[in-house]
Amino acid sequence: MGEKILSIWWFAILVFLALVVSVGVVIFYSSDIDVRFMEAKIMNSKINDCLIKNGFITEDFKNFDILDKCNIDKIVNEEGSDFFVRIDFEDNGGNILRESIFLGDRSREKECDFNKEGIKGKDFGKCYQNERSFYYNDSVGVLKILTLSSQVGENE
Amino acid sequence: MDRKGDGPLYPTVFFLILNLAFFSILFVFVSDSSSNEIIYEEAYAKEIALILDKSDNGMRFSLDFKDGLEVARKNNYIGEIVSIDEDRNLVYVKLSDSSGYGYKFFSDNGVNYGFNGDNLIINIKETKDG
Repeated sequence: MGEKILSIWWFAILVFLALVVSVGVVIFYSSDIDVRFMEAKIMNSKINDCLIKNGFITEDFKNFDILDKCNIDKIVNEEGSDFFVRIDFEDNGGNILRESIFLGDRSREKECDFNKEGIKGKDFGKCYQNERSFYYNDSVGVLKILTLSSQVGENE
Repeated sequence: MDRKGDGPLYPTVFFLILNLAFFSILFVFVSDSSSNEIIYEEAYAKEIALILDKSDNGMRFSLDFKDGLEVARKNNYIGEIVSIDEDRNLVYVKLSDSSGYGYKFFSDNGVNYGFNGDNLIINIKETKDG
């Protein structure tokens, strides 16, 4: 009698173990490898590095072609792009030095605000924002770069 | 003759065999899940795309692709394992006939690539055409 009870319990333990391991494995291996934040950060640093050299903003920043000068492909700026970039140039007092540069889908900028406010959305992209001071004409300015990636891969 | 442990041996052996079978199945399931080609395809495609995004002209990378090649061999896949489409800015990794994973990169640099043993060698060029 005792052996029977033991075998029932043993069977229950095995079933429980199998369930826990299966569910764990399925959850672990079906989750996405999310590199969107990393992508946004890399793009941000790439733009930063090509606009500011040794602390000085590039001389032609008022007529600067980001795609050409920063080695960024035109897919970033295409319709329905998975990326968004906003670059602001301000002086020390917060005055605008040139009009902002936008690349990609401008409607996605809101997603960065939602992220900041903690509002979750399944398709929201991941954002990275960075500010860096620079010298120009014996003054100091601030470069603000916001980048977003919402790319999901393509399965066959 | 009624001493403990003198009963028939079969139930114990049967119990042991059942346990062994159970844990073997569990082990095969976990091991099979972890060598699933879909996971490797996604991981390699994203890794290569990030390398291309971060890199500059003239850089050279060697990426250990041993596990990916092993999975392709296991699946008897003999086609192109890694393809980088410069026109579409797409890295595509395929480790079986029935699957494949593509991920875009945003860099405008050109790229040369090829396998050297178990390593994928990636050379970054200044432009896509040259």
